[in-house]
Amino acid sequence: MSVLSLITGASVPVQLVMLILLLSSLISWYYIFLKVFTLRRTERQTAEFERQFWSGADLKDLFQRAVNARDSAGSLERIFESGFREFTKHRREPGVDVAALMDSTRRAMRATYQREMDKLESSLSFLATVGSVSPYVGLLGTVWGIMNSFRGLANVGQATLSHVAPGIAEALIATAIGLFAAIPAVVAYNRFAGDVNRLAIRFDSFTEEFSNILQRQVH
Amino acid sequence: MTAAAINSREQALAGGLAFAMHVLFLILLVFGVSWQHQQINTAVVVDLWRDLPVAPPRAEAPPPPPAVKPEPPPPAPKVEVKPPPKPEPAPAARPDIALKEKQDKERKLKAQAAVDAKLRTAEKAREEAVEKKKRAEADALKTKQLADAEAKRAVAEQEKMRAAEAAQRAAAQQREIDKYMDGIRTKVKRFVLVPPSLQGNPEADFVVTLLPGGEVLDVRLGKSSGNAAYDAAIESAIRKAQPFSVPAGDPFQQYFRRFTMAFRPVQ
Repeated sequence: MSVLSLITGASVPVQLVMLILLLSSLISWYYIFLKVFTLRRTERQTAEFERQFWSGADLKDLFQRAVNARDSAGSLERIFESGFREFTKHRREPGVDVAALMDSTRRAMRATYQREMDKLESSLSFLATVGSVSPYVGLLGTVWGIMNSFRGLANVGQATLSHVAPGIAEALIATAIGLFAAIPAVVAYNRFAGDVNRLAIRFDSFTEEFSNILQRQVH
Repeated sequence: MTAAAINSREQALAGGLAFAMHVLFLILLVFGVSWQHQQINTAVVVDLWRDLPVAPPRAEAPPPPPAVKPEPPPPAPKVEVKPPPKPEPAPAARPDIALKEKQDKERKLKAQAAVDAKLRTAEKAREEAVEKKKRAEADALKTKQLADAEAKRAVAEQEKMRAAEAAQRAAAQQREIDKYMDGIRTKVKRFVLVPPSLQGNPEADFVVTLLPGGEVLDVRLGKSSGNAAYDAAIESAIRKAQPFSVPAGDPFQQYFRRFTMAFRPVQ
């Protein structure tokens, strides 16, 4: 009695459940790998830009570089770019109020920040859903299979363990697949949520510090 | 490299990795579970012995009896037949011819006696030698016969032991075969769905032909139980229960290639 025979021997609803679980497992693993790549890349770019920024480079130079390499720029670079663009645009206007200038700069940066965060957090909700729902889906398949196996048992005169065992084994496979899909998804979700949070804190603090620097330039 | 290119490359990589992950897990699952299955099959082989088996007799021929070399008969003592002593030169003629004659006769007799005695001792020695030789030969024959008997007894004993051993081995093999048969019967019984219409406890015989891996090649009804539904149930159960665990090699060819098995709803 191999695993494959258990799967092929299961009833159609249970097989359907297994198929759904397998698909969600595949997609969640796809997102897991994708997120790993994206987050690692973002972290690297952020560290690189922070190093450049705090090494005392000219802000105009940094801005120029960010505009030129817009396609491959990291999240933090984009935030910097949008803030500096807004700042320089408003600064040239005569008789501008400092508080209003800083407000609009900060708003521009916040907008870019939120867009970037949304990109980083995308598909995390899918992982959360798979992690919390697929055990239940697997359980549904198992309950269905056990119901069927007990119903078949009613037709047999003397019920022995050997009558029930194959049906239950078939049914339990569904729960196994559900857990198999859920566990990595939950682990990955927690890990990624933490990573994204740490990036968000870095972006936030950079925004504040950059605002201070710009405000000092106005005076 | 542009962001779009990086993105598409990462997506492809992630897709491939996810797929590989699942293939790996599937392989692990299949092999892991079948490994456990194998483990269970081999774990129940237990032999119970009431007492220790007799140590098998050494397959060694008993040492050959010490060869008794018949001693070569001692060489017959040389019998030197000494020529009769030279007749003394005739004494000076004496008048007493009668005396002389008498003396002559006596001397002759004496010489004759000496020769006779010598001959007798020689004869005796020869006879003794022959006797000795005969005795030695008889001794040799006796020891040889003894050794022969000993060897024969040893051979007989060995044969007996070998026969006992063979019987023991046959019994062990029979036990082994019974064990496999029981395993097959138990496995089949697990799949039999006894039809509710069955009355009593009828017996159905099936002739089963197996492949060396334990797969069922052919199932034929030998003796019907009288209930066609029960017959069909057993037949489908045999087909469903395959593969059976069977011994490999010669015992399989001898006992499991094709065998008849009787089934009853209640054993």
